[in-house]
Amino acid sequence: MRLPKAVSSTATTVGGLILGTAATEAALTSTIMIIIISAVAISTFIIPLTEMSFAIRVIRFLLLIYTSLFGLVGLLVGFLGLIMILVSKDSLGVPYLRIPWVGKNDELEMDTK
Amino acid sequence: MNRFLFYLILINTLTNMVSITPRILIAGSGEGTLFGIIIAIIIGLILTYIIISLFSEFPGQGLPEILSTCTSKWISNPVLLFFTVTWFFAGLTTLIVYTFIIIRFLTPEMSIYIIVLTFVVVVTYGMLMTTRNLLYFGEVVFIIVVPFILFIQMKGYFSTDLNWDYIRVSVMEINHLPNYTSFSSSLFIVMGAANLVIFNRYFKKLKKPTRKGMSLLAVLLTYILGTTYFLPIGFGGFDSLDNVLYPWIMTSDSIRMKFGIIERIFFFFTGAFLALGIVSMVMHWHISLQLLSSVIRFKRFKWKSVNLTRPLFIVVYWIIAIVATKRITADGLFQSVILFDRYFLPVVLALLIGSLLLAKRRLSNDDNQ
Repeated sequence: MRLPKAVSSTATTVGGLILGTAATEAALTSTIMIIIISAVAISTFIIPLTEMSFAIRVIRFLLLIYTSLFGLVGLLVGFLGLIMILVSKDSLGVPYLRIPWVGKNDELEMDTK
Repeated sequence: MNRFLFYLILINTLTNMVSITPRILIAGSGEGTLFGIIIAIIIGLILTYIIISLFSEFPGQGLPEILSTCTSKWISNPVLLFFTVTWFFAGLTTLIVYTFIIIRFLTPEMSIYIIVLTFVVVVTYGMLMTTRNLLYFGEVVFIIVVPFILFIQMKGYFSTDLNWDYIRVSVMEINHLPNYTSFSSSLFIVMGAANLVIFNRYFKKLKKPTRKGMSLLAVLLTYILGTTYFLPIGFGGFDSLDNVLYPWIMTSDSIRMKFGIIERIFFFFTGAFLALGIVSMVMHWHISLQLLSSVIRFKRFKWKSVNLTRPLFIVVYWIIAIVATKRITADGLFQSVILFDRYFLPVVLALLIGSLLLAKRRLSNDDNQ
């Protein structure tokens, strides 16, 4: 946030509420669109790290493209594709999405390396 | 037992809950399906035990490696090619069933080519992943999805619309002799362990199945198969369900969530099973691709030091998938799945166990000399 503290609350109110109502009343967007966008904007605040929020921003665009191409099914399948990409990443030989139910020795052979 | 084995078996089982299989089971409901299911569970567990304990003799080796060390090419290549076709067909039926379900229930005005493309793009990425990552992918999706499925099933079991009398009527039909079609299609549900043909490459410490693991597997498989068969009958009625093409879609549509965000449980249901279906599709086609490329490999077919054999196979897979989905009718799909279950499946299992036994004998002979 590059705004002084006193201004920021006013800015969000004006931006969020007034512009939102104006856009709806001028029939530029539908009300459900405003609701979804504001829900998305609020839920981005739960991302703890700045780098992670950048990454999620990029991923969100990819998901948007896939969804707009393929519809509702595209959203679901694209989300699975996202999981696939995350699963194929690993740091120092240990996969990102390895779920540590049991000790490493009981796992697949690759993990003990 | 390793938990990844459970994922392999259970994903195969759960995926078939929405596919053609419940239709086959219910079509024979007056002619001994129930007995067939019971026998299929018993025989399936025995075969699972045999397959896992045979594969535990070859730690870290897939079927292509086992066969190439133990038998000549004249035996191994036809077997592997036959397995390729089988696993490709298993993935293809899942793809076609989900395409049909989506075009009928979710997005009716979309072109069928686009729906197939939606799947095929992601599935291709999954096919090219390493086998180990595929196992982790299966685990993650399984853990995300299974609570939803359990919730839907509990919702169904505790629903007041569920008529237990129909279920009692269907249990009364146990006096018929087992029906071969429903026996073989429930055997296909149970035999997820056959996926070890490639996945065994990453099970280096696969042990013989323990009693605890096998009994847990028996309980889970019985529960899933029982739910697959009985819950649609409880909602749809014993006699009137013969005309329903997708019994489970109908069942999920008859469950309501009165105070939920989304009232129709159908959307949850389709989403959850779509995820599992994609995992199963990726696994089957990955196995098929690995088997095929272990048999056929064009050494000269290169572009800047990248061997183009696998991309060529993938393009062939795409073309077959798109043409088949466009051409086949719902009845044709039904008949071909029955054909697959009746004749292909026993041959595949016999070939798998036979070739493994052969390899084991060769191995022990070599040790003795």
